[in-house]
Amino acid sequence: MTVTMWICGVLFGLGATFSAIRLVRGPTMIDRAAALDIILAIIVGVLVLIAADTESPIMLVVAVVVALLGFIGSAGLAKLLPRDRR
Amino acid sequence: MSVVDTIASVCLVGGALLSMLAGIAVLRFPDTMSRIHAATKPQVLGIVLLMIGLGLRLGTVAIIGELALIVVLQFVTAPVAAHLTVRAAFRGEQEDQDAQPDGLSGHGAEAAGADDTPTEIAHALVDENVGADPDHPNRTVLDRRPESD
Repeated sequence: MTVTMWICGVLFGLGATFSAIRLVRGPTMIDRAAALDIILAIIVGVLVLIAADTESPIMLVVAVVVALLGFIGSAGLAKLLPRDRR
Repeated sequence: MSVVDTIASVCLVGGALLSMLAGIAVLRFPDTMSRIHAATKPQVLGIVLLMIGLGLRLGTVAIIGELALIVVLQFVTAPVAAHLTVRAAFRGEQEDQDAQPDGLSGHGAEAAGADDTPTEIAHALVDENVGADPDHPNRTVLDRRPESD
């Protein structure tokens, strides 16, 4: 299981790094919103990975909250962005 | 390492791999639409794979219920959020390109200018001297009035 944790951690780290590059660079705010969505999905994945590593389900509550926050965040961005896009 | 643990490991690595692929895609894809398309993958299939892996690892009923709750929330909210984002991106592109009227955006009528209203079409025809009155070159059939003198 330790090997699995390392592989997953490296993959999540690479994905979060690439998304963060797009988050900084992204030409429009919509690109940044998409990168933020991926980063939030990666945060949920890391929480699940912590739960699998420690074998305790406490982190799952946090994962539920982060999943809902991701939806609220991207819906709000999509609603408010067109007035001020760049 | 048992068979269940192996399957759980494969599922966890699969979910992490999808997240990394989405990161690569959002960095490398050329335009906004394809980036959003790539961003939706780890939110649904990646989360489902991670939840299957975790459920195989800690398999009690309460935990599996919580995992199913997260999966159902993602299934309900991820397509809605992606649709809202894509619609905002589509409207932005329409405004950027000053595009033709379009049923989806609703911004086309202003974006294409006021040339489409009947009065403007009539004035455009006047400019091209279609229907011009031969006696009065500056006056057209469209605004002929009774002569007052």
